[in-house]
Amino acid sequence: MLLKLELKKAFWNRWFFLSLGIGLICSVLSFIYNLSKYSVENRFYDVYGMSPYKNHEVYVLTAFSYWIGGDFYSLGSVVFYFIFPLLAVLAFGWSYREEKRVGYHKMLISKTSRRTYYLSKSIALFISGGTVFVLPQLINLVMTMCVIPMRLPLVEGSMYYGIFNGFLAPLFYSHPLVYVFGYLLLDFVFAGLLANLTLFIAEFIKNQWIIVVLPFIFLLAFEQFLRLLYRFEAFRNISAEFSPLTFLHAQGGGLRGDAFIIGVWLFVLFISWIVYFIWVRKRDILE
Amino acid sequence: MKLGLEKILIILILIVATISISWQIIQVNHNKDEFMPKTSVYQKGEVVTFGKNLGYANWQAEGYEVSAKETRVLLPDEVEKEYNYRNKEKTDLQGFCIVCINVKNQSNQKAGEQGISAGLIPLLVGVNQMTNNFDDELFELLNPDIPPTTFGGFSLNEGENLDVYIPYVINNGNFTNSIFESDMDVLKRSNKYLMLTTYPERKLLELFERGEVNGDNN
Repeated sequence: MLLKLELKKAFWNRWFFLSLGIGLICSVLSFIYNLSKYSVENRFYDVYGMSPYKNHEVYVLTAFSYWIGGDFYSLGSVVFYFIFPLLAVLAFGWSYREEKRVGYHKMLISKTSRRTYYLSKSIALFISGGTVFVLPQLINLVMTMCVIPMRLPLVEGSMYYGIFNGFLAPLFYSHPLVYVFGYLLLDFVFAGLLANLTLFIAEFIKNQWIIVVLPFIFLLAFEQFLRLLYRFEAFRNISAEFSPLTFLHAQGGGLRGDAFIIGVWLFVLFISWIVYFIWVRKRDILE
Repeated sequence: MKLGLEKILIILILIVATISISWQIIQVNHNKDEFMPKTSVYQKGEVVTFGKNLGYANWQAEGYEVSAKETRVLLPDEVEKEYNYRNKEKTDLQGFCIVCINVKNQSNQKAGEQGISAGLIPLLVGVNQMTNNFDDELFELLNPDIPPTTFGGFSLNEGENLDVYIPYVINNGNFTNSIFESDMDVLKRSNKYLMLTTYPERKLLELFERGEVNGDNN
């Protein structure tokens, strides 16, 4: 019952709609850009021309490289993957602090149980955060699939797709839909766990807007730290991507996503969530 | 009652939207493979003709035939010991993949004008990795019968055949999927093919027999 209430609050508030709206605007911008790019390239490769030899690189014209996840330079795509931590947390991440401030959480805990309250809040945060990140990508994917054929990518076109040997890369060239949904699942889980960090942060920081911005600032600072590190000779040969702002993008950008690094990030976020639950169970709610 | 009607309307709209979108996607994709290259995989030992197909190495190789003979994965020290050669240009060099193919000019009558650039034939590793990182100095050492040219280009007289050794350079970062792997690990573990032609028929020549453990026959 409380879960239903929390889900309703998570999915029916102006900040959720604002986050989703910004995500959808980015998604539509990317779609418009890629549609025009496709129409130009489609003519260039002359798919429906008379000679079959004009079409020898037709595998480049595939929905899997024109959807937002395969697009790495349109404004919509770049902005979307840059601000996703902000969107995922803005949707509902402010709520726990707000309820703490007015004492609403005490009332809910006294009427249900501490476990039910925190679990319901956490699930609602997880789903809302994941939805805000994944739904615009999913809508963009469906829009793209409605106009661009889902041709099987071939390794000869790797220069066009920008996918070489990173996380799930073999799937991209054998089962591209599985690859795309694998990334969407990863994005959902990561954004959901990131949104849950706000529970932890809210125990120490009182200003809800700082709580909302902090995960984004942290990831941004981490990204800049990495870029600074790569300037040194000793780190120039690193070919794996450590920053979630980049490795959550299905296309990946310059460096490749690595299963181990992605696993470490998810593990750390998951463990922080578990630690928080153990800690909060022992805590007095009047504190 | 009113709420029920609203819900039914929403469900109906969702069903209609799903059907319309699905229909549109089916329509867009119904002839998606029409111009796609047809991939054919040939086994080690099979003779593969270039035909009129396009490729990286054979824009004028009609009438030539190729079969895979032996593939060896060697460390830089092993290559130095065997051929007295060390590549000094490539950074982070891990090893070499030396592919031996037999090339025959079956029916091409333009010897000296038309042939194959062996160094441009891509080596496919697994389904997602490809290289034509070719060592031209080692190519000259391995193929003394072929006059030095760019990218290992050569031609044969009609009816003539020749064993050609193509040395691919393996440096770290091209094939690795995990930070714990090296390119040599991936190379040994993965299926390896030569991509002889690309369009309209994409001819892949498998470098190991089925059941043969990749990279262990060196």
